[in-house]
Amino acid sequence: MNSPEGVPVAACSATLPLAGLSQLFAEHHRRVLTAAYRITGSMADAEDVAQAVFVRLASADGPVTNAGSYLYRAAINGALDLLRQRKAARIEPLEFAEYVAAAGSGSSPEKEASSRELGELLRVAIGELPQRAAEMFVLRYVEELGNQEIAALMDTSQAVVAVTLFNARSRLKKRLSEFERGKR
Amino acid sequence: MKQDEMHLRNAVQALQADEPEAEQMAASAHRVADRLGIDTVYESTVVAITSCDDVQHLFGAYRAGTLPQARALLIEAHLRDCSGCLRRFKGGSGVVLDWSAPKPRRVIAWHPQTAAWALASAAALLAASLFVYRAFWQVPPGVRAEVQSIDGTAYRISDKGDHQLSPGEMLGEGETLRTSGGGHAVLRLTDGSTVEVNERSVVAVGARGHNMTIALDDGAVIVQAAKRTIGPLVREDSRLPGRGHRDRLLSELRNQGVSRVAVLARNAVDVLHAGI
Repeated sequence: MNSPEGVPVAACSATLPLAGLSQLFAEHHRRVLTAAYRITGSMADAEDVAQAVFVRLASADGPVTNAGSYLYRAAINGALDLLRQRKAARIEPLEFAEYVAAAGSGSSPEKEASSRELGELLRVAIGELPQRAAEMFVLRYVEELGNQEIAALMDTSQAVVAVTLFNARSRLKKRLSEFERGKR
Repeated sequence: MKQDEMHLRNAVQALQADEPEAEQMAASAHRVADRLGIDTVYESTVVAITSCDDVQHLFGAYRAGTLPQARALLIEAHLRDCSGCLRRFKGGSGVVLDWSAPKPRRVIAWHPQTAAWALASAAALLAASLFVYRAFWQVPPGVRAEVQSIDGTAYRISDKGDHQLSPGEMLGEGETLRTSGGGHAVLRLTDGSTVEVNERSVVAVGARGHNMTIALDDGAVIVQAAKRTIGPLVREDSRLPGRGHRDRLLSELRNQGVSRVAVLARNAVDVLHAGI
């Protein structure tokens, strides 16, 4: 496999300026990619988020405390940023059509498509939430962390998490109902 | 269950169930690792650079310095040849994210020199705080004033009861001096100031740091303040004793050759300068 300039690209993997990055990537890439994918619904976006997250970590001047938690949270934030950008552009992800066409086994294609559409609507609605509320909602309901874990991760109290989640749920329910009414 | 609650629950379940397939995940991991220049544990083939898009995907890793040397050279060569990619490279981070995640927290390393500076700063701050406290807030122990002379009768009023004063006795913090009708007293404060107390006056002397405070509840006093090195002599107040009383005082002062005094009457303070 050669690059356009004719240099064998396989030779590129010879050196590694940041040896730790490779190990961190091996340990955390799955969690980072999955979290970003669940939020964006697009593997291409998840790749961009994962790349940005690891590059940012590699750009840090010194050793980073709790790299796993940082990567995970950064992936969620990066994916939420992409959701917001998508909200502004309102472009349907290309993969969406593919997923609908390739409906999973054990359920009817219509049901599968409807479920994916519902998920897509929720993504749009999450993209409209304030940054912090969106992050808490994703951590609680998509990643299924407890309020205590979220409070520790986001450096706040459980009471703040509970109130923010309650408000976020109310807003999301309202938005989903509006979407439903708009469809009819 | 309400309709909107059910919608939200179903939507959340749809998101939770939305997992990438294993093959898709592996392919994505390869692509990201390749863009980062990471020598992955997989037996993968490194993705070839075949277009400007491929080059632009590597900008982040190129900037971070994680790309292998050969691949970094390819990027450099391409940037020399392709003005579009060069513009893109110089134009921004190359990453499409408007980043809102917190920056990675670095491990705080304590060096001996840093610790020494921190300790020195803390000690200097402590010393400054102590100086300010002692100068302005500390209640110094001991007496506040000595009775120099009494014409008529004067009493010390304290928690222990009333006591008729005679010259040479002391007044402490919180103790009050009261002069009777026709009685006059002269006090010498510990800072060297002299206070002449008029008849039917009630006065107390307090101290905070280097400052002495004369509290006048009733009557009138003449204060001949000692020289001070810091702070104002007295706080001025717009409420002055009667015009006639003030003029009489000034006349007396000029005769005595006093250069500067404070006159207090019913909590009012005025600094008078002889010759005005």
